[in-house]
Amino acid sequence: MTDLTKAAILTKYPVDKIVGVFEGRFVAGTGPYTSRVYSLGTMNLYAIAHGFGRPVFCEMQWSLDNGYSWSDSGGGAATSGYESIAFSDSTYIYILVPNGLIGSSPNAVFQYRILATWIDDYDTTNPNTPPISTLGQPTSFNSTNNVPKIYKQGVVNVSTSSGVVVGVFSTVPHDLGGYQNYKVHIEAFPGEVWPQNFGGSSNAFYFDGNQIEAQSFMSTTELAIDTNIKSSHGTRKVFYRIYGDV
Amino acid sequence: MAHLDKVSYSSLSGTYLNYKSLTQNVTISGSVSAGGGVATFDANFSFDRTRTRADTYITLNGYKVVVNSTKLAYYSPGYITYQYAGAETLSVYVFYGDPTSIQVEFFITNNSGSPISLVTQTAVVEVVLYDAPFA
Repeated sequence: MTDLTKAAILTKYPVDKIVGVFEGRFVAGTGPYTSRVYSLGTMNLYAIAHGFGRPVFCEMQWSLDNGYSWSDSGGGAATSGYESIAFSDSTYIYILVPNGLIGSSPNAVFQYRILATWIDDYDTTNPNTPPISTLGQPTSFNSTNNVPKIYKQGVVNVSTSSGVVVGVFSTVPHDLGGYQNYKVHIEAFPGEVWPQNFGGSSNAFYFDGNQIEAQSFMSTTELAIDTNIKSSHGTRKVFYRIYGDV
Repeated sequence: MAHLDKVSYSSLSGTYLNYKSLTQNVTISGSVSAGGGVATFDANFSFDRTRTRADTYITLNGYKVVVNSTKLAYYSPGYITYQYAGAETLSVYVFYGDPTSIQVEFFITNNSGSPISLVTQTAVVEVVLYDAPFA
């Protein structure tokens, strides 16, 4: 085949579609940052224009030791106890940079790798997935390799009529048996899609009462999503993907 | 081809290739001293992390949860905290200290004034590993 862009071999189950790979670095003390002042603290956000016109799921690796070791989201030993997360809106991918890092290690170099994956059901438009070029990177197509296939995905609209913060459980049944892998993203702020995070005052990523949180649990029969949301939040979206070796 | 259903390839977008899962069992047992005593239980995974990313899960007490971030504290009665929701608190940390390993550590803290004996149970720790199209 002379034109590899015409190649397409698919099973009936979709896969994560990586539409962008964003890699770079910046100095912790200088950013540059977009700062947002919230009731529980200030977010310092390193913004990367993504050009997709709608949010994407973000999965970030980051390093503070010149790329020696990379943390898969959250934090870890390589990050000296700091925690960071990446999320997106329709224009930018944002990296939330720990305030402590900026203050105590302003010369630290923050390196990031972000994989942006497409949200199939973000709205009703469902445009075609933009193509991605990975020229210069190794191409692998080998049927002995496996890929994580999405058995079930969707959006749950969550809200509550209660005026207080409560746990709102949404359940998604599955019939695969066993404990399947899964991922959950939430509309933490209107129009912003974050990886799930939870914990209130102990959550390093919780900054404001207008923010919702979620945690999730997979059983052999369902995915349960526990959302902290109150009436003033209105309706927010929770996105889930259940993977299966199907 | 014996497993045609495992084939998936599209030239229009990237995806995670070469997906595989590494698992270890961690037995939680023993006692924890009073007044803030801590018991720790570890799982250590060694592999070449070059151009990979990993999701880390634990399965305990009938539920599987993703624990990519450094610290996970569970709050929902009836879920993971069921066995450790009283005087004890359970946190799970994931450490990414070098290019060839991931360490998952369970911390159980006794907040009471008396020693406690832990309910013996097994947690399954799973690192789901993907090749990722990093430069």
